[in-house]
Amino acid sequence: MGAPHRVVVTGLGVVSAIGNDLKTFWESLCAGQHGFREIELADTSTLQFRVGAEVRDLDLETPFDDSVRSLLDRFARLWLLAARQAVEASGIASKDLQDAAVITGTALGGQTTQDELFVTLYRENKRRLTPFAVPRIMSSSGASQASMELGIEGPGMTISTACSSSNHAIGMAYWMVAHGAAPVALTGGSDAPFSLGHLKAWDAMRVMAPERCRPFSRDRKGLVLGEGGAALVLEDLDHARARGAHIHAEVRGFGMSSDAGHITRPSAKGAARAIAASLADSGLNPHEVEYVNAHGTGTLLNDSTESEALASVFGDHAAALLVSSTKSMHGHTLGATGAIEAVVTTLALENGVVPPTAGYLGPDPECPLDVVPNTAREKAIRHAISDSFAFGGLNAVLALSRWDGA
Amino acid sequence: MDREEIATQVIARVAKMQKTTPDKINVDSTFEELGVDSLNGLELLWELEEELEIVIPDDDAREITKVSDVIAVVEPLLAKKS
Repeated sequence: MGAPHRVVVTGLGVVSAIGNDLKTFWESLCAGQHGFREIELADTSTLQFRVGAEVRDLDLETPFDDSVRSLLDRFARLWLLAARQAVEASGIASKDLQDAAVITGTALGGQTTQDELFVTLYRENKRRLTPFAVPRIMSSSGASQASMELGIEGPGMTISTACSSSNHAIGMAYWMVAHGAAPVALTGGSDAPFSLGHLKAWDAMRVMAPERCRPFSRDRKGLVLGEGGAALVLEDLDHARARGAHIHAEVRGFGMSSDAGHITRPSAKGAARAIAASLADSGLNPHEVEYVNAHGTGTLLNDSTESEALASVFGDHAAALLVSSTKSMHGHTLGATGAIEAVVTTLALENGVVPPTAGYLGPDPECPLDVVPNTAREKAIRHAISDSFAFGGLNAVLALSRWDGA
Repeated sequence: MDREEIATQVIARVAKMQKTTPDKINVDSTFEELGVDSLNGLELLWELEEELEIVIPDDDAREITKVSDVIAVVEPLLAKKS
């Protein structure tokens, strides 16, 4: 197989509650601007929470041909719009996509369609469902549709590991390019959780914040769900250089672990293992890491557990880390969150600005970290990690570095 | 339903959930002592909401760590109903 190839990020795309293009998204992050509003996509009158991070002012109809639109659940549309942005921004030629891989992450797949169809079946007693039901609902439809639209004929798959889905997807894409299985990979993920059935499921867990999520803060009350999609084009460095591509950052490593613990309660040991694995894969020493884009959901348990994990991996250096949770602005987008946060981390490295943890009221003694509270911070960071820790204890961490031309 | 009746019902449910007998549980038993984990605790509250036709607010639910906490939350909700 030979030595691993170096892998760089040459395209980015995002749709989210705080911006449907990269520029707006980045500006919102730097301004500490959140996208939490009263949920409109579902009737929340029987729920104990009202607030979510929905995508706004985004045309999800006309960008898709008539022949294709009926095959696309909301989650797939969010993904495809992000994927198109990334591919276009990368400048990559169609012919170079033929051997590319496409690997997406999603926790819920086409659950919006499923929820709608359950209504027609169980409430309206319809005899037949749409023949488009299966292709819309299947979690792999995003990857398939991207492959069809863009002419991608290399490896294609979808990974579903709850809140770690798109970090796992990006990690797999990275390893594929690094090991020469594909010169280019289109990767990322999407999720659209705002149907009543799904919101009821979250309501039952009593982990939802009433107004906004406040990761790592005292008096934090839980998470705020979001929807969105994000995409990255990962490319073999030589391939990128040969075509004069703009390089945003370098992917340095990927680490995973399984908690082997509780189905919802996180484990500091499991999280630490994944963080350490990403550093080992990258060859970076812990003290070289300057920024952590945290999983930071805003629940009591996640944030204190994540703080403990960071302390155990980084030791004294933990105090010097900048740790921000941008879920405080774009919400917890479940299977999309790894990808959205990989885009954030890439932009932070490229621009030398660390986005804040918004909504921070004050320190919690169980989270003794510099969480970049409320205001973005200029710092020319060189190395960063992005954490995802999922229900069921499946953890995935990416390591990225600033691209300095060499 | 008075406090004693509520206590009996809660203890009976916990006993069933933990596959033990009500005499092994008293109102001061903590969920941790009883081996009731976070998800089981949520399930207990959900069953009580369904059975008693009440809604337990999230803020109150999150403070519950022992049997007496459950009774303290349920009692006023039932009183408000009647």
